[in-house]
Amino acid sequence: MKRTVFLSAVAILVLAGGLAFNCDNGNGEPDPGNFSIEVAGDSVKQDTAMSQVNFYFNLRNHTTGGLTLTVDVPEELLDYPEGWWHSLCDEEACYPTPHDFEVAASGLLEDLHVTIGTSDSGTEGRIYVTVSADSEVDSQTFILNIQ
Amino acid sequence: MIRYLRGTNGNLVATGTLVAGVVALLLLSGCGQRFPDPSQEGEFERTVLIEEGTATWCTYCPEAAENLETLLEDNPAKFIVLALHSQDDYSNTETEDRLDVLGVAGFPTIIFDGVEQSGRKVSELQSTLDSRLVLGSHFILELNASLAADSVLYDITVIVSDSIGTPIDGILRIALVEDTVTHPSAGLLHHVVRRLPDADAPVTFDPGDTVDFHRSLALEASWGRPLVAVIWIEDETHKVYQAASFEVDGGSSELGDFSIGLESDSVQTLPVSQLGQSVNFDFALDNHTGNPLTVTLDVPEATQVLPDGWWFSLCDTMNCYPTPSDFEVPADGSLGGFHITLGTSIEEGDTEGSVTMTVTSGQEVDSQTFILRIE
Repeated sequence: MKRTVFLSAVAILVLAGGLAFNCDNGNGEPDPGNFSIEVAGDSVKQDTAMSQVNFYFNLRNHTTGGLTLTVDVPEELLDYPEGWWHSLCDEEACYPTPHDFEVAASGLLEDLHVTIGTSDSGTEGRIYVTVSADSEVDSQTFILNIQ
Repeated sequence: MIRYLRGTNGNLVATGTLVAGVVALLLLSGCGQRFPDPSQEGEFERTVLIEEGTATWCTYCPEAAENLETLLEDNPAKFIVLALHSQDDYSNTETEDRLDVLGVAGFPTIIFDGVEQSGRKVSELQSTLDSRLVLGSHFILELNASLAADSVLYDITVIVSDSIGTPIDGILRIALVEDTVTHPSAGLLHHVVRRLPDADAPVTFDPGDTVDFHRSLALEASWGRPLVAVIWIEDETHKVYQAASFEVDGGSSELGDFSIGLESDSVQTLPVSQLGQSVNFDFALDNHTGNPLTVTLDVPEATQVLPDGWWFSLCDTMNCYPTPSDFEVPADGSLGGFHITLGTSIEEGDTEGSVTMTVTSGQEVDSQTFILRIE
């Protein structure tokens, strides 16, 4: 039951993300929607146990007006071993989730990252980051493998 | 740095300006609330209140906390720290409310005297502290705090400068802080706010007044010692006039039925050249009652913050014991010769390990953290 709910939620996120990305904008290119998540670096990384790993991403505003983007790491979608932890930060501070970020018109909000901290147990963890504004939702998965 | 204070929209700012103007007119006319500018210098020495928005999930918070400890070492008794936790094991509605009121959205956020936000580098913290200390205060706060059965009692005396021209309306706030706790992944946490009840109504302090207050806060048995009682007077915008603190312990019978008597430092160091060796932390158990007391010693797994290869044991002069283990302490007596041994590995690179021992008898729980540093 729990797995079904989880998979359904993932499916909804993927579908929503897909809709945001896959609509044709009339120029033969996918419509990026009002905003997009740009992964800055690898979304799948490897490290050793008891480590902290940062997954960087940027948020791009494709509109000509300011956007309030809500970044969340939904607890029900957390998929990592016991003792692992995560935080959402930029270069200055960390934020409880969900957190609203203001992105200027046609602007790019850089240096956001999710930190995954590991314990001495488990071999893989996944973090699902969702970004939403009004009815548009995008998502990004970050995976950490322990060698 | 204003970035992490929640903003208000233009309309609210405009309204605030209007309200400020009205308040200023009322003050000039001698009517209404009398909250003078706390930045005005007073002749008494100021103790600064530092509120630290923090969380165990926050990547940058350990650095900020460490820098505050450095600041504390460099400026003893000049300021008090309240670590306000958010969305973790140590947060509660009172800490969340205070963070909300202060407009803290990102972590760490360090706010001096409720008004001045500082960067987290030691130099920035020192600079902000200096700018607050130089202000002085119109108040002297005297605080005596003691432990009752299930609460902490605050006896407070507020002495008001007789040089202030007009009465001052101030709001008395109290808080209870657990000095040190050990978190499984975040390690040692300091100045953890356990209680921070809602503000009292403003009190009007006349020039030269000496006013006594008595307050109490409920205590939970699981909170470790020492506890620190903190008081301060702030204005309606949370700007702090003066603060004071009092450590609530001291080995008296008010501590309860028993106490842990340290017979060596709870923080010890081992030279890097001696890695692989172990260090003993000596203690005794003191029974403050007229009856024999059975106490349970434990070193909960969650409090064992030990690098790979490090180990600990609980022993007396004769034996070592599994944890938890029970011991009988004689009436009005002491059971000595105990030690927690922390053993290190030969691996270089690890700089610190710690365990927290809990001692339980009935409803009463005491705890002691032992820290071994490699230097």
